[in-house]
Amino acid sequence: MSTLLIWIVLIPFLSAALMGLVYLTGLRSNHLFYTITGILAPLLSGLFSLFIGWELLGSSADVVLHVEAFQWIALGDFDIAVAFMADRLTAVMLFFITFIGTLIHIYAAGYMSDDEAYGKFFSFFNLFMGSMLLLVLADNPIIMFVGWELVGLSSYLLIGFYHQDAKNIKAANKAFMLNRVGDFGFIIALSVLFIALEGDAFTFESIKANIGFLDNSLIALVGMLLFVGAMGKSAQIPLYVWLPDAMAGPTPVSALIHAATMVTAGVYMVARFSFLYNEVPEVGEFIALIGAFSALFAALIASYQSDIKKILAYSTMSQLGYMFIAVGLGAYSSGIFHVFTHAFFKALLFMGAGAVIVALHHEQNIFKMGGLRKHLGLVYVTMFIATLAISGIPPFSGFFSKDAILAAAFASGNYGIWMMATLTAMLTAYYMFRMLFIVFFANGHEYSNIPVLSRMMTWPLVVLAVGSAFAGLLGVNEAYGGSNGFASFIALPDRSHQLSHLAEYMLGFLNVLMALIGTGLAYKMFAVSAKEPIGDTFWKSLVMHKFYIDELYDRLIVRTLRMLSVMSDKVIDNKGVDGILHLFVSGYKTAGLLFTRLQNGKVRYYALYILAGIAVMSLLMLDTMEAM
Amino acid sequence: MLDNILSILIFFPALAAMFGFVVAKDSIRAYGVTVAAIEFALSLFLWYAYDPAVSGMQFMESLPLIPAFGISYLLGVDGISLFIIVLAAFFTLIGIASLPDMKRMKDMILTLLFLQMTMIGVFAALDAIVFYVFWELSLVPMLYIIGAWGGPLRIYASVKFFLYTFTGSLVMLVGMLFMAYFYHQATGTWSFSILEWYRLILPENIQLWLFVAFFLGFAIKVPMFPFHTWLPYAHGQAPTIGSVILAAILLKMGTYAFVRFSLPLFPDASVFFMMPIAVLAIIMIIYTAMVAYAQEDIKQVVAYSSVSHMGVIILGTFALNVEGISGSVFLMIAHGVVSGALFLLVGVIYERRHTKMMSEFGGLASVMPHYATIFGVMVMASVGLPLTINFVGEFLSLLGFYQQSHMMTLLAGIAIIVGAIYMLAAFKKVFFGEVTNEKNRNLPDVNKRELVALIPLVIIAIWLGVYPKPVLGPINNSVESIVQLMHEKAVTEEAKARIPDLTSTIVINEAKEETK
Repeated sequence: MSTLLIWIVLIPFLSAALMGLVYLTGLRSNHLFYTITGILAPLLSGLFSLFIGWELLGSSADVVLHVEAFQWIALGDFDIAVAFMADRLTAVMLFFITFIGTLIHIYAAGYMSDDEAYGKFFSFFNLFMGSMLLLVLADNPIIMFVGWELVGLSSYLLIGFYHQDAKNIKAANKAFMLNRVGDFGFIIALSVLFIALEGDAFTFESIKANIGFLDNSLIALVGMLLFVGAMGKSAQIPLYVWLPDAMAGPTPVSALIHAATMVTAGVYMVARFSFLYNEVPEVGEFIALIGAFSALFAALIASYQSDIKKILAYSTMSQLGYMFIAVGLGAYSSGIFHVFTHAFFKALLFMGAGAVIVALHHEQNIFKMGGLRKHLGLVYVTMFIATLAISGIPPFSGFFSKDAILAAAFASGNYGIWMMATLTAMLTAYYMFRMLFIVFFANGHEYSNIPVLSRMMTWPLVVLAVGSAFAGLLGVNEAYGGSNGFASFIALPDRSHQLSHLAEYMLGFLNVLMALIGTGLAYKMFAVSAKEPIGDTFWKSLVMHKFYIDELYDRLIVRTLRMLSVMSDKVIDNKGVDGILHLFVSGYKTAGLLFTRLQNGKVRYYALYILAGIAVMSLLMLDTMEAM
Repeated sequence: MLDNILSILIFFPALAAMFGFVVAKDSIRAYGVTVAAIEFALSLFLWYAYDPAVSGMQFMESLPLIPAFGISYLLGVDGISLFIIVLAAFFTLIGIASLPDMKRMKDMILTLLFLQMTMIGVFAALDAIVFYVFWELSLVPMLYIIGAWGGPLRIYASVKFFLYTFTGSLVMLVGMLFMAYFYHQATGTWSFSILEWYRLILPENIQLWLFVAFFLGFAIKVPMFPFHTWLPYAHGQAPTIGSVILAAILLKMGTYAFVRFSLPLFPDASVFFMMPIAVLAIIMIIYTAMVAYAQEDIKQVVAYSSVSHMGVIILGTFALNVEGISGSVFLMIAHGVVSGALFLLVGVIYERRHTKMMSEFGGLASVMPHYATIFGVMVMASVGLPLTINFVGEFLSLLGFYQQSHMMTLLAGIAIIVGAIYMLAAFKKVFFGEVTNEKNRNLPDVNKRELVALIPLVIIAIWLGVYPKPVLGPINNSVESIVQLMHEKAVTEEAKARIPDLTSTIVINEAKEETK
């Protein structure tokens, strides 16, 4: 059974390699091969994941499957195996990654059908799946890091997929670089941990067993450094700037990055290290605070964007902030639950947006849309469901997961964080319905020849809409008459704080109220007619320009680095280091010239040298004789 | 044959080069490829016959040359030198096989074969004088390659290369003579055998002086900051094949010599100079990475990036523990594969367009997809992505040094980030965007001759990244014995503390096994 874990990871990699080779060798005559190989890989991995999940469901909560593929690096103390593990947390991740991944693959087969580089796309896509599965299934943090970096690589490849446009590559490079900054924190954390544990077996299990022997300040350091990694991958302040630009990739890529994979890696990592973060709750509070700021910040920006994909991108960042609030405050299962529900509605939103974009011949500005509900009925209905879900309207999935997070924030006594999160809930409803109303209602434009969307693109939307509507029912808590099934299945060591049912009802009511206020505002402002915002006041233009953070980074980091580089090259290396060398050379030359002058072949000069020599020697002899 | 395999490996190419003078011009490539292929097969056989469980020297050969001074022709390989020898044979083979048509083809191939003799000689020699002879001899063919086939500044570049490295080597020679003298003082007999020298325990002050003398020779070869300024010129002017061999093999002589000479001979001095050298290494990593970022010539980017990564090798070496040294030896192989491949790749477009300026290119990914793919793989290997060959070495080197100093390692780690910046920026400039220059519109993709060289490198770069064990295992065994030797030889308390005692960990491990 455990060997299945190897196949879950290996199949996407193999199919990626196969498709890559076929594509490169030019046997790319028909799409069918790529479609089948491309979709089959996540499908098979998904089936195997279901087996694994079934096995874990039937056994007790602490059963963990292990399998070792081969020894990777073995050096004295340092012994790292390519090994995989699966517990219930892994099973949940596996389920939605492969399930939603497969749907996105099917959708992509429709979306990309006219693209020349169809095979390349699916090769990269499966590489992405494989990397993510490697990250999730890793038995030790080093292998997790490998998956972590490979996810960065595949996102680089996919964001820069349309490489003829240099702008896209800029976005890809930005994503790769910012992820590397995070990865650096991650790998340093692992080194600190490894050396602190004195090289005992470095698997998650043994770290968990030995964590008690470590100093709290050291654990705090490791926790912070790991979170730096999460900031990069999961786009939190201050390393988030790559995420909005990552929209440069094809829309299925955005769906994959934002919903099922990549950005959820950071949340998963914190949950995976829950035993470590439970030792240092103050680090967790910091994480929650960063999450709350990111959530609010991104929601504010999203409210003023005009690009449909950018709105969704900032909304992802904002929702990730919620997840970090949860895992930071120790409500790991609520955090993962939100990851789970978010995967459904965010994938749906992106794929719906992709359908709109395709229908309008690659128009992304929402203010050039409007009234589309008559033309794209199915897309409209499904996106409506997703919007309800993300805004937290019961009984759609987002309500339950978001409510659990807000309740956890309130119960833990971090009222500042709770207030920010509640405010964000209102903004979420506002910007999401703003988008929905502008795109599908508002004053319609005249559209000519809207193409019929292929089935490949529409029926995944329906499946996801069902998921977005009902996935939340898996984790209904006691207050709403459920049994908290999700949390008890995933069995993470939550630091739970009890709330009375009355308090939960009141919080839930407040959330719904906030969401309704947001919706109402959006309806009033945008449902009938919509005008593109103009940055006429200081605040408006500040928000519209995303608080000028990109410009700030550019000035502060990129240009400084560039300047230092040019200075190092032109001044220090050329004039300084080489200059000193040339100084030696010219000194040598001068000395040579001097000696040539001395040796001029004229006898009278030589006689002079002899005389001088004798004089010096006589003086020396005189000196020594006197001393005697 | 096994008894003399090292001698065969050293002298077969030189002998073949002699015979090569009478080979007809149009069959010289076939001749060169055949010779290099036989040599490579021999080196693979050496690897096959090598016993990875033994940590000491294998295939030793000994022949007294000047018995009065204890100079003998002494050869042997261990896990540290084995793979560099295989790599040298491999690069000579693919170098000759992928050689573009050029003037004086025959001279080039014969020079390369002669160069191969000196390279393998350096890594197989266990006698300081034999080592020195091969070390200096290697300058001659390289000088010829740069001087005869180089770019417009080739004379300046080759003279700078020669004088700079030669000066360093002379100081190293003086150091060797003194070392032999001290050996004579202590034992009453003369010997230049490195293995004999290993047994000699020197007082710390003598170690310091000798260390500096050796250091100068090695550091210029590596080249370490601030002795690196000869390298950009050498790379800038050298033909592709010259840069490939220089980056892949010749520079490794310096780092190899640190492991072979400096560490085991002068353990206390190594500890004494650990921090200053680490500072130099870190300056070298970050500073050259930044200089690389400022370059406009793609070959200079690769050249400076090659220097930058050599800094990580130095850092790992001077971690003075098993992780660090094994990592750095592994990184020597990795660096050889990756920077060798990058120079070959730069040669591909240079040959098509006769320019290396990045501003002349752009959008090549659409025109030459295979080329872009291979280049991309190597760029990713160069920035140290996991599951590529560089990651294993870099990670182990940094992990090793982390045990000596946290702050320094953090600083070095910044190079990981800066490294990605300049590589990705260069990759973007050359390959992505629209094809802006009409001359690039119809460039042919990589041809079969080039693929013969590049595909094996891609395979190695990924294979050893995914499964490094076949190489890492033998390296580890030999490095362990060196670290143990250093620990036992160390005189000062600090050195004893800094260099781990492996016997104790082995005892602990055994105790653990028993309790289980």
